[in-house]
Amino acid sequence: MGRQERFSSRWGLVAAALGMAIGTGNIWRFPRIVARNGGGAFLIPWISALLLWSIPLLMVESAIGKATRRGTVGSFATILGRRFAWMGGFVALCTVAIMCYYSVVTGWCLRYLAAAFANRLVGVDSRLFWETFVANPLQQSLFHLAAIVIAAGIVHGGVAKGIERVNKVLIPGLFVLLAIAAVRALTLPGAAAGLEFFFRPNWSTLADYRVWLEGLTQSAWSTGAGWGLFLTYAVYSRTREDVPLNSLVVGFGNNSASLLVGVGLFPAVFALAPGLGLEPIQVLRESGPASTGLAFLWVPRLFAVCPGGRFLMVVFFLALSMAAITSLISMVELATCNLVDAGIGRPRAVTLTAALGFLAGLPSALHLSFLENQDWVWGLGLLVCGLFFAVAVRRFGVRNFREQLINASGSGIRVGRWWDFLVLFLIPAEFLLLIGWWFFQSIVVFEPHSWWNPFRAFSLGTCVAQWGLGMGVLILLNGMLVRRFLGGGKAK
Amino acid sequence: MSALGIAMMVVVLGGVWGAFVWLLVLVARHAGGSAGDDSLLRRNAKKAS
Repeated sequence: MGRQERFSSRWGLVAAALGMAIGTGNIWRFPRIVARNGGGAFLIPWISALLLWSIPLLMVESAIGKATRRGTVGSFATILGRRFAWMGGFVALCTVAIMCYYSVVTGWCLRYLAAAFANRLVGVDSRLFWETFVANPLQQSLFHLAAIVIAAGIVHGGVAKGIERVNKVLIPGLFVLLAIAAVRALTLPGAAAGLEFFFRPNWSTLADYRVWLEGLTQSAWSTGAGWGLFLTYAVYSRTREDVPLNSLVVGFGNNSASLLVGVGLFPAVFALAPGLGLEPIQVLRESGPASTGLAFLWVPRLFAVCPGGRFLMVVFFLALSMAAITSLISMVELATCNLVDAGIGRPRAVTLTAALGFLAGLPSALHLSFLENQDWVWGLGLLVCGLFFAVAVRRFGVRNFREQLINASGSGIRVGRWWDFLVLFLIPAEFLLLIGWWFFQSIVVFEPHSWWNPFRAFSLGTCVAQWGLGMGVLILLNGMLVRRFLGGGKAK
Repeated sequence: MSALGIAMMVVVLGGVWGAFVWLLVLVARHAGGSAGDDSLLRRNAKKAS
């Protein structure tokens, strides 16, 4: 176990990394954001952001993990210097905080999958079904527990025999399921209108800066760049791995999955919604509680009236559950990897992670508003993490980083000087734009009268308070982090 | 569908899916043994020298 463990093949690493990147954000957030930002034109900023934010950061993560063979805390202490272990700690804090409520979300997917299998979603009021489910604390807690136990069980199996083996089945399976759903949707009468909306660009929307910022946000959250997850998997990569190639596969694979979802969902909604007297674009745009609108409110209602709808519903919720589980696995592994660095045996580290995930996730399972707050705070925290990775490269020396760690032995694709510019200047600029814009949204749109209040769900104050508390504690404990994560780990 | 919609669909799906498939082919070439395929590596080594 420990750092002697490696993925058995490049396919194993690629499948696990794709599993990390492709999650619920591809299936239920992406179509909503496309619909809200003018359809086809949105694809241009979204793809641009893949090239200008996500892929450069994925390369940074992969290179650091492969070079240091340590989790996020040990990696930052190694690359930036011992005084900066807390930055790796903050990356871990953000991702583990997300793991806690992401497990709840994965539980929702499992609940709906079970209901779809049992044909319990047809002929019922989908809104009432959702409201009854979220109002039941026992069910919420049990499905949350099931999700974290499944993910932890797979991680407990080890990197090659657990994570790799499961992802090698689930990721190709996910693409097949999405393709089946897309083919079925495209054969519905009226499906072409959905494709037209999804692809036809309304050029005027590109003049709106918000569309560009939404594209950047979607790419940053969807690919998992800057979360420390790809870094964690790269820790177990073989010596001769191609950092640029693997990063490109993950980035383009993530976007390919999102497009496949769009090719299925947009035609389905445009074909089925008018029959129920609904406006397709409104259906796609509705956020719903905790952004559940499309997946949990509309899909059951729409697919129920479609020929073969029960089968389609099973396919949809199976794909959603698989995407959620593979992402949750990577989050559990990130926490486990750091705990192993701190000298805790792997089986115990997995158990501790699962217990923490379950207990810290319970408030999100019991109160949607708490989950929404955590999503807001730590989702934005990930942008800070992205900046931290750029800072790490700057301090290491951007050219040295590229030559020694990215274009290292095993790299077939060589990265040129353009990458230096992206990491040194563009990523920090993108971070400032994004964080400034989201804080502006908080002050002007979400919480105009109490944006400073740390107890409001979407306030600027709650971000500053929770980040500040986390960073403050980590900075105070920096010396201890260095001793534990660089000096005391078993796995050296 | 309009001609513009079809053109955009071809460009986006062709570009993103095409790139993904091409990258998977590159991975497949490298996926085998410890060193993997070497055509790209050889080319790089030549460039570097």
